[in-house]
Amino acid sequence: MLGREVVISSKPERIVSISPTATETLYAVGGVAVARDRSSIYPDAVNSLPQIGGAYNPSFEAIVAQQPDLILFEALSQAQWVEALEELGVPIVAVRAASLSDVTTSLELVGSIIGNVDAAAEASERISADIEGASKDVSGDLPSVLIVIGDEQRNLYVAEATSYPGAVLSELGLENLGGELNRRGPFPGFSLVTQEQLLEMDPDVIFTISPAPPPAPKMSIALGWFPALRTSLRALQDGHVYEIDPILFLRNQGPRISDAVLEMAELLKGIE
Amino acid sequence: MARFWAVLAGVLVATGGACVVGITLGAAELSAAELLRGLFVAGDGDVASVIARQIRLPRVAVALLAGGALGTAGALIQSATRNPIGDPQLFGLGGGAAIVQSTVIAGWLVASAAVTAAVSVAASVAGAGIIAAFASRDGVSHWRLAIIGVSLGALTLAVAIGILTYAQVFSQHSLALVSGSLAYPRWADAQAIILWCVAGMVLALFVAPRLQVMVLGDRLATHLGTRPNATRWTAMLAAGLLAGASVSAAGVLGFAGLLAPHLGRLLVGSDARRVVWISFPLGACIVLWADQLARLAFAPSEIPVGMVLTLVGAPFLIAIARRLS
Repeated sequence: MLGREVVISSKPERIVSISPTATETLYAVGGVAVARDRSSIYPDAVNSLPQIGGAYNPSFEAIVAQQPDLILFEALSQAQWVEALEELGVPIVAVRAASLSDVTTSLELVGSIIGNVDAAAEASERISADIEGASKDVSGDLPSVLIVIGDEQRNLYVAEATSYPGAVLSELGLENLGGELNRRGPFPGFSLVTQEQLLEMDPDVIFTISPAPPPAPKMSIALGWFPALRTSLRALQDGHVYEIDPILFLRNQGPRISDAVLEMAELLKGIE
Repeated sequence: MARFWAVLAGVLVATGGACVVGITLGAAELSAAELLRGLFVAGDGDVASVIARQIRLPRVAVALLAGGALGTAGALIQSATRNPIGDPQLFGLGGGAAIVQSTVIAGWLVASAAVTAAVSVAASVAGAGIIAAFASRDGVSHWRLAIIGVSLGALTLAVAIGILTYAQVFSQHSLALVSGSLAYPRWADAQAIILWCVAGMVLALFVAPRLQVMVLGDRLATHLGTRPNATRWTAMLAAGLLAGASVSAAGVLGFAGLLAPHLGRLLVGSDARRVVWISFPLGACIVLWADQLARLAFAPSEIPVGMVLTLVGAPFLIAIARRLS
């Protein structure tokens, strides 16, 4: 997924996955890993695998100790380690999930590497069918929406069309008011926004993602701490602010994009 | 002098201990036999050899070089500017190098490790030059110089962060530069800075004897037959070389440059020569031990080494400051 050419001479037997996106892609096409990063918690089978550290700070020596013949990683958040990983002398392959086509391309790629092309095609078809089913349920007068995420410094970010949560919105045909923002910021696919911008966009519905686990406050509540937003943002006043699962919508991007679409469709049905 | 040698021996033993820990312990459990085989016998590609030679050894090497360079740079700045808060990171030397590194991370500057290290060193030397120029002016008290230095440090770091933000660099990657990280060093990083470290150290050893009279102030120093401006510029040049090299390999590691000289003064007395000499092994020892904590406390996950340095260094420095008064 990074435009690199990788030579894999035989079917890999010892795959180490260092990103939840890679892990879920691998298992979706019938593969198995021998080790995983800390955030890889799906499917259940991976929870018994040894960990090699976090996806943001993998331990290279823990990776090597697993004697891998393939390392799977994520193209957007882990690209900085490409050169260092290559020096380990093991083939490395990147997957990505910033859009539905990324997900299916990644499935095809990993499927062909482990010799399960059919499983990859089936998985892609199943995802497409699920998404199609979900979009049928959601129709008519759709609300305008924003997905808002906060970081530890109370900066607010909005998911653009090029992000994974943005892709979920577009699969449902929702109008993402943050879709074309394309502002600079430290998270690819997410724009740093000011309160003023939020007020200007004033969406019908806001979905919030809270990356930090409790007891950190949920974003849906923290939004109300901004006095200007509390008094003037329609979604807040109408109670149309909904928390969505940070694991499904942000951290573990991948083939479960259809689950994310289904969950959002369910939420929307409740609103109408 | 006997005390100096005793302290040096102690620091070297402690550093050696950290080296042993750095090579023997890690997220992967290697037996002594496997480790020795990996270090000396096994061919390329062998698991033990990759872990020992490609992951653990370069990390120890970069920690030693970066820590030692920061310690010496701190000692040089403190003596040359007669300033107790002289520190290569606080005073913007490291910040200059961080600006260069941020353009590399952003993908604007594409060059080999050796070239980026050289450009980083040049930027750090430029920062050192600015400090030296201000310090050489008549009437700039060391308090005013401290304000100028800290402002320059903040300014350079802000520029570096601005570049990273503008380029949409992933925040975890930015953090590794801004707060320093030894997590993924390669031999190329160590090779790229070793010459600069050697050059900086040679200059430091050359200038150290003259720094001793600088504490008396420029006028007295001149009367005693030294040329204070030349001494100051030489010391700052050496500090620039060392700080730039360190940031190029390990990011903006804080506190080591401040802590090592103060700890050194406590251990070997205030003689500027001895402080400069002891600060290299002391800085190396401090950073290497901090990195062992960062690596091993929650293995296989790591905590940022900069955080460990600050957590351990800050209370230590407060204690030293109390003793000084």
